[in-house]
Amino acid sequence: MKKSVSKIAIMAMLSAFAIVLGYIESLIPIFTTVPGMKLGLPNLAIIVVLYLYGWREAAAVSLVRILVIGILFGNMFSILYSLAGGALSLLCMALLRVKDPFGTVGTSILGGISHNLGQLIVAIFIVKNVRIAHYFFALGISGLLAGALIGVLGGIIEKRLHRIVKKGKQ
Amino acid sequence: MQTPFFVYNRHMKSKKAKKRNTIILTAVLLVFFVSGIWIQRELTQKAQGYAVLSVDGKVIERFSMTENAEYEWVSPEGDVNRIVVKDGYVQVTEANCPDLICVHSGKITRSGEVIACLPHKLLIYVEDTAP
Repeated sequence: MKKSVSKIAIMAMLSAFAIVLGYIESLIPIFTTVPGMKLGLPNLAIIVVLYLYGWREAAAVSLVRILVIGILFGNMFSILYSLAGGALSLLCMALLRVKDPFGTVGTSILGGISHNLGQLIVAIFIVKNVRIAHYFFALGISGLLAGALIGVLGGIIEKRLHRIVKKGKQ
Repeated sequence: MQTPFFVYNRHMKSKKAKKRNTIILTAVLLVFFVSGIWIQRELTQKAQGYAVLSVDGKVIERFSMTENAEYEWVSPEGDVNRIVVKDGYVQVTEANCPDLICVHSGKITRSGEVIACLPHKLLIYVEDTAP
């Protein structure tokens, strides 16, 4: 009983955290020349949930934050991009989480790259032109750098929260 | 027997191994993407070909890169992108999309390079061959 209450509370808190991060991200002006290039701050909450609990919980938080951020600050297309990117990156990160060969940083890096890849695939279908795949390498680099940053931060937060989660389980 | 450095054994639970694996992974990916960008740039010289305007997958207009041209794309929904072809480059100078990534993209000159305006489903790319 106690365990599930603390779990619900922490998951709700991290969902709210993800949504706030999405808002902060929408405030940061980025004069990028590549569509879809961004920091991916909400992924910080996703990676923390993934490491604290598991992929089901991470998928739930991810879905909530994509829908809420999309409805509040985006449009139908931005939800579509985020859903594809979020699903692909969650799949990659959940698979890496099983044996965890890289820790949070490596998992987050591959999550960032696969997120951008998922978005690029949706973009190909939206503009109906494969030429946009020109951005693949630039988006890969951006996913790698942003993912590394998020992975370092996520590792720190996960380490701190882990103690609280453990206490709740007792 | 010692475990090879690139195999992380979950019973090892060593942070050192994870750190090392991550560094190797990052280095490999960095080399892959940077060389990808570099090859993309080096393989294509300044194009003498065509700038193609494609909206929603349909080719709307082709501009010769050797001639100067100005074109205003206005869609039935009211999407506007102003395209300038001049001195061998293509540029979107004005647009009414929310993110203005197409305008910030600046000038493109090499074949294969693209300017994308995703909210307008618009893509401009440079093609080397004649149509």
